[in-house]
Amino acid sequence: MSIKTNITAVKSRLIIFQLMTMAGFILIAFALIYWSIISGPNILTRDDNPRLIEEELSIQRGSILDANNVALAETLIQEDDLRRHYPVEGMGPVVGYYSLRHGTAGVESSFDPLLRGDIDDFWSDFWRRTQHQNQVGSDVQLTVDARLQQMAATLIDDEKGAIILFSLPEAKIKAMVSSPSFDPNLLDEQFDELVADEEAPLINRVTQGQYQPGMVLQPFIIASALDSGIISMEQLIEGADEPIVVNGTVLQCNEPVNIQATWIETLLSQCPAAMTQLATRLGEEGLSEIFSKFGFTVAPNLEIETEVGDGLTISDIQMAAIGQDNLSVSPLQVGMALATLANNGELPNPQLVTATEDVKGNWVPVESQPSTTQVIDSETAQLLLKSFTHKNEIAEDQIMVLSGPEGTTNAWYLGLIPGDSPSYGIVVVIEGQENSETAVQIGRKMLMAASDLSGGA
Amino acid sequence: MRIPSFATRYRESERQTKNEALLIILVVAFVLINAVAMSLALEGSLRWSHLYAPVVWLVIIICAYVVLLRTQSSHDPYLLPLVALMSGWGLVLIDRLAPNFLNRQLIWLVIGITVLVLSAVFPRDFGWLYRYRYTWLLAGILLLATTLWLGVNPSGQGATLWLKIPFLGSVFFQPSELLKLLLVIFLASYFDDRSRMLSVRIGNGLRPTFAYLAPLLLMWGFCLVLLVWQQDLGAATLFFTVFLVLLYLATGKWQYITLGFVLLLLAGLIGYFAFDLVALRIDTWLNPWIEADSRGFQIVQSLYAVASGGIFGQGVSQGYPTYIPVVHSDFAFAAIAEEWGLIGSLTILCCFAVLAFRGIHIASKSNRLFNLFLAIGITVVFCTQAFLIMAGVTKLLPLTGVTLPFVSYGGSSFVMSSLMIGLLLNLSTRPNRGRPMTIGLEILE
Repeated sequence: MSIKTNITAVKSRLIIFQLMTMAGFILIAFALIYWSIISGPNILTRDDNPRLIEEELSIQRGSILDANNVALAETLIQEDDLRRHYPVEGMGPVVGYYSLRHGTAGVESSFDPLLRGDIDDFWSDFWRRTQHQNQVGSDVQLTVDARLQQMAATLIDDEKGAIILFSLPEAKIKAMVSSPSFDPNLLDEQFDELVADEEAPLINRVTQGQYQPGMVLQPFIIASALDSGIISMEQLIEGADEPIVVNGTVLQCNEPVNIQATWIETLLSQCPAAMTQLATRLGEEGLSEIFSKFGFTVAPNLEIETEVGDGLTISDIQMAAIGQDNLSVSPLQVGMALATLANNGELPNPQLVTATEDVKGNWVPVESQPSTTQVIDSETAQLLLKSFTHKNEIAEDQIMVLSGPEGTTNAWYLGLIPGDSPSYGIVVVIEGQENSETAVQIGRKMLMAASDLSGGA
Repeated sequence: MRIPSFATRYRESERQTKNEALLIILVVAFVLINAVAMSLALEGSLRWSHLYAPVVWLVIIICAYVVLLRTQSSHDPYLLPLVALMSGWGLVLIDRLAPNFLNRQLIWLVIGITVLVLSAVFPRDFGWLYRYRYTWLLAGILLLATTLWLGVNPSGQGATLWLKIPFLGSVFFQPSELLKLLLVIFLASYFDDRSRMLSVRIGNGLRPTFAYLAPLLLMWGFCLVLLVWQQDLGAATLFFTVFLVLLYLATGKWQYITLGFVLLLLAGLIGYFAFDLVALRIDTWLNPWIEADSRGFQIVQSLYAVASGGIFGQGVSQGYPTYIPVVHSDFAFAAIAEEWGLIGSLTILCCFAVLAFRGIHIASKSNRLFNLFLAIGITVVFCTQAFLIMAGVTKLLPLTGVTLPFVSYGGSSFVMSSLMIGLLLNLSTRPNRGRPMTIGLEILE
């Protein structure tokens, strides 16, 4: 075996080394092209890519404003960081929350793409990314009045329950309080406690709470029965004051009524026996239709999440007529049914958002959706409205509702101001009450405040 | 062969000088634009804190250029611009990724470029390098061995590959960096010596085989020991590759290379089963995604960086390469891929390709084997190191923990790389001069 080792021979081998070096570098070049161009876009979408979080953190979300352009949610720039801030207290149920860790809820959730500033236009997006400009979102203006909202939050204090105040006839929500609630500024710190809390502070009781309706249903059932001619104003009924037993609890008229009483008298005295009699006349189908007409069987169409109870079939029509059957209602549903009476018998669609900002910064009004159903005749509606208790220009109804097998009662307050031609309506429900005093006080104060603010009443 | 006239050579030299000046101007423009862009991107205005390092770099590069031009007019015109580009880019990158280390790296840059110029200008003769080869090797190994007892890691954790330099505060030195050069010198000298011995003993079939096989096995053993001692996969692979390339050049025998690679694989296998660190690196290389949040974190983050760079990159200091742990040393290349995109990463790749070509060119012009082997050995060190880290970042090979010469943060690496480029520059000026090494042949004659 001989080995050529002179310098010429060695130099002749350099070409092999050169080729190998080239091959190695070309291999690297292909690997770079593969990861940068071919496979890159796919792997970048993996959840554990920190750039996705960085991008999310760099989004300057739009503000959520109240009806008077008071910021309810805004993005603050602190040094190089952006922070979502909720300057007005008691806004949790309205604006919801935005959290990198826990997602979004409420208006923050339903208007997320707009608030984030997501745009479908490829080139605008490409140009923005190339320039490393932060994504800037648009603002959303709500129908809510921060002053009324704060007042309602203060009034409900430590009580459990819900308040919904709305203007008429468009059913614009002016205040929406759910208690207990949460501070969206502290959501990340308190999230685990909030989720574990049995009183469900993250649930919006106005739109998602499911309550036993009890005699809250009475005016709507009577209105409907009057409207369809099944009963009449002059008709006298017997035995309206008889007691009804529900789960061992005896339900009776609030006030004594004559042995023979008109339907309106039984309404004023909230007599359960009159309702069970009416149920027999209406039949299961008739009763179901009334629930359906007043919107108790569907989730209201609102800009934030709403819920409907699942007990939509009637199992006992007598119990169903006094709101002690399967049906459950949310304060929002009751509010809209009340608005129907104030609104000449038309069921309105509730509205929470007034306007949104477009990419150019112009405000685009969110048109109030037209009323879709004429539920009852205008005259019947006015008749029912007159049958409410009228006090200081307020037309009101206060009901104690047996709720749950333990015999706990919820206090409801339904009110309208001015009573004869309402501009505002309110539904208050306070859980676990022995009398309706708290609910009534809150309801009246809120109606007066709303009326004062609008310069009316 | 037509010998070029003096006038032709003079014109050639003048043209090359102009090319070098032009390249340096381009490099200076690139580095300064990036420094300015970074200052604007981070601070919104020009800040001295982002500009002083490039200015110091500019001054030292101009000084190096002028000194080389005056003293070694026929030096290779591409090496200094390459070093300037990579070191300038590296400074911008360190300011961006680990600003705490900027001043330290700047000092190393000044020392390194000074060493580069000195080693390019002063040694007139490499005879002393050639003659005391065993002394160099022994010194290097002893220095490396001391890391076993006195070794530390400046970051407080990980492999203890550094020695603390006394009386200088927290200044550390990595002996394996010096060993790279000492090993190249030793091997160049060894193969030069062997070839001459062989040239007089042609016909004896056993001896030449043994003469190459024995050091092959010895070298393999040495690298294995290195692996066992320090679990330094990168250095072991690097040393072994340098040895194999020089062995091939000296013998032209593919069999040795094949055998060498088999041994390398065997060492890798042994490492895999014997050492957790080696096993971890290989496992995470094969499938990093399943453990993307733990053991595969570094490589996955590196791939995200490369992917998010795309073709044009995010722009200086506009990406998120700092999610990669120790990005400023091991993953500087991934940071470049993210912020300068494919264009940037391919540019760095081209820098090393050009460096390889110039090294081979210088070797091919040598009239002595020692010089040739020295030039090639140095070239192999750079190419292998660049290949290992680039292949690691792009998941072609397991991560080996070597740094990207001139770009990554690291003082020992910078100074030793500068010294090696200095020697290459020195070799480029002497294709036809110096004392021929013919001791053995003289005796025979």
